Amino acid sequence: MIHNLSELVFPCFLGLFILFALKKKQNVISSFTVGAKNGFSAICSITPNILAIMVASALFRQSGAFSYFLRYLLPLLRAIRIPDGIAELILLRPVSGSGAMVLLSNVYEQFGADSYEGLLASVICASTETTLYTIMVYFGVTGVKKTKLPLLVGLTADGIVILLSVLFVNLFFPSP
Amino acid sequence: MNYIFSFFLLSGLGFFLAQGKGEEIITVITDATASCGGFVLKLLFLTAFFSGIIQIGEDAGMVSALSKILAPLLKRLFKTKNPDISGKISVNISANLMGIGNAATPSGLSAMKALDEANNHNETPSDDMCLFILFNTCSIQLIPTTIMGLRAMAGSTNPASVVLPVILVSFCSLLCSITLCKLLLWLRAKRSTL
Repeated sequence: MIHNLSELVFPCFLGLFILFALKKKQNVISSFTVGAKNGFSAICSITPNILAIMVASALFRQSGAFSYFLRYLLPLLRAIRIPDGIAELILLRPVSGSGAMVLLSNVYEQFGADSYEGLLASVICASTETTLYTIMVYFGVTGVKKTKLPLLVGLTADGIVILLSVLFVNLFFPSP
Repeated sequence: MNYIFSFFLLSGLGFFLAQGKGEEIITVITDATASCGGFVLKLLFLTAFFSGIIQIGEDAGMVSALSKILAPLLKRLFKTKNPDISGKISVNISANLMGIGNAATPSGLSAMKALDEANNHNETPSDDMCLFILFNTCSIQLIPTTIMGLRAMAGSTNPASVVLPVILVSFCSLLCSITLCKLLLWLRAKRSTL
């Protein structure tokens, strides 16, 4: 039911936009092309930033550096009731959206979507964004070089999400 | 960001060399750039399409109508008085709320550009820029459709069971980060006046 509703949001908006534009006697196609042109130039200007973060995170993960540092974090994560099975997913989430989705599917496959691991991973993934990627890309279109403050706040927010998710998952889905 | 990027690269290179797999470095880079190419190409046309759609709404006056609805909230948070900028911010926030991520990126980028103009292309982000990016680094989506889809595919008995905890967690974290951000910005302002 909810799922169907949310699928309706986008087509409704698209339809409303076009109807309103026609009512105001706007040239719909020229509006569209102006916007699309701006979209092209915006993405073109951030391509180097996307390339940088994607290559860096690929090297970091596939060299084994990621899993090496992960091993030292496991005891800390266990202390806040985060199972080992989803630790990699949580740490990858701020860097790579598509990578995190692959790992999330693996968690569902391994533990089940309704297990503690599956539920916790769902809540954490749905409540966070690709923080590093977003900061890199959004500031890419600006002259900003000093991103320490937004980075600090963004990553702290991700930490808060992890703690709150553990709390709420245990609250909403008490283990038998 | 500078340090994180350098750390990723250096530790990646170091680990490859330490394992004696130096020749794999170039393969990994080739694969990563190739997949980046595919990703950017997809993103390029998708974003261009959604930018076009948003432009239709903007020219039809829907965007300014939307920003009027969100105005009371935005006025409290952001310093900008420019109606064009706050319009772009409202489009981005509404797209994020509704989970139309593809529409959030183009409006977010154009809002960021406008904030950059107002900030005179300064190297240090303005207060509004720091606050605005929070709405994109925190997930404020009302209904987590992607996750629900994945859960349904994995055979969950109730894919929507996580909706309420997700909403609670994401809004708590947004509130906390706005507070933290305001606090840090206040400290920054205080330090620069000393």
